[in-house]
Amino acid sequence: MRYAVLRKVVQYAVFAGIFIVPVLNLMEIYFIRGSFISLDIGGLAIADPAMFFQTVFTGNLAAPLFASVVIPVIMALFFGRIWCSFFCPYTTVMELLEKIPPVRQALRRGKPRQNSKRARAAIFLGLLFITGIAGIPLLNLISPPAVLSVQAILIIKKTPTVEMLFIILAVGLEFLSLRFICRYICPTGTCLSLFITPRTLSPIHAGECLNCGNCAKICPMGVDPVSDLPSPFCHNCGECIDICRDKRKPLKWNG
Amino acid sequence: MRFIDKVRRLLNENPFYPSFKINRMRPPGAVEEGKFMRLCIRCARCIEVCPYRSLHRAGASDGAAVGTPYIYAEGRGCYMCMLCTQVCPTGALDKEVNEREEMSAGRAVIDKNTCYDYLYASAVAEGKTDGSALYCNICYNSCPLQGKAIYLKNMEVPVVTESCTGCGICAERCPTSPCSINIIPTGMSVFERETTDVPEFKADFNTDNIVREWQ
Repeated sequence: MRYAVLRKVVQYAVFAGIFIVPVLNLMEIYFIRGSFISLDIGGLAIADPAMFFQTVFTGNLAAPLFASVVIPVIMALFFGRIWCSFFCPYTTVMELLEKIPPVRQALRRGKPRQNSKRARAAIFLGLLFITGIAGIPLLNLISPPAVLSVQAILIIKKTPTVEMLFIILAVGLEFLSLRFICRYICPTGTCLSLFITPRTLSPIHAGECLNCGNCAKICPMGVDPVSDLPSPFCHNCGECIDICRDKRKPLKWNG
Repeated sequence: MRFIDKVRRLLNENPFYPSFKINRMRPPGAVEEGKFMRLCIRCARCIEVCPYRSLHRAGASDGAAVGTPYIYAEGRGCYMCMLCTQVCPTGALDKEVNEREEMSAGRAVIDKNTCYDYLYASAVAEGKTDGSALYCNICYNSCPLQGKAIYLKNMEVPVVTESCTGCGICAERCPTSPCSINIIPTGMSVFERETTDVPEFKADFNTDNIVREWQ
């Protein structure tokens, strides 16, 4: 439960942060600067790995970006897709929406979802291919955390631009298939899951359990924790561990 | 229009090719337009850091450039504080550009048919004394590189020189509507100027004259 509290605190702090940082910048406090595409915390450069990969494909390797993806990659190697569950503002938006009971009902109805690693890889490669042909960065248009953090800056300093439509489209898609964007489209999430190794932090299912199916029902990413873990779709939100009522603790962190 | 011309126009207006518009410039230190479009990852850090809110994020009307930073001179020019060149993570804005004189976003061009100063000068030359002519000088007075980028010829009419950085402050302040002083962004060719969506612009200028000034 402590994990869930920590996660919520970080989520809300980051979500507030994307609006507070531009305000601080207006007050000429430049400790944190930038958006989730490229962030600068006290001189420490952090960049979105997916945005780095696309500069490789557009034929212009941006050298300063190379050093700044190190921190996210190390984070992904140790903690998996913790970015998605702790920091991504889109996840926060969706979880806030799910707090409204009728919305949650509408989002969670329907058949259990199937995750296809192959389809996701094909979509990611296809997107990189299109970016390569166009010769200009395009992945920033369909990465929800990138769009949201940039639009937050624009909301504070100017007016939001047309890119905001993607978020509206994405939330609309959620009602057809929960977290469709997170599972298949988001280049940032796909890119981070490339760094998941067997030793990466992940919930694992070991030993006997009651087979109640609650964990599979609660999982926002459509992973069945009994059979699928560790999965590149799992973003370590820990909800399956929290809902498990089995005293034998079949679900636990592998950490 | 001949068929080949249609094909040429279609291909030249490919949305992934650099496109230019009058009074729409890249931030200071921007590399050549085609390279800029490839390098810029649309992270909005320059927009965030701009204390004058001069930088805008391109919207749907800018085609494939959506998300890239622009200065719209008629709205607000660039005050050349050079904060944006320092935060760009990819080198789309050259970090080495620190001085105002090093900026080359474009070049101001004065429309001699509508500029108050030129109208005043011609009124004086014709000997009109009805008092309708205005003497303005706002572009000269607002220029951050006053005397260098713009000077008053015969203490009468403003003339833009090679040193103009294209910051757009003159276009922002110009009292006529539409602006009598416009910024041609760096990289904009004569061909593109002719296909621009500002028709008066074509008609009012002697193209040969602009090209000579420009080169």
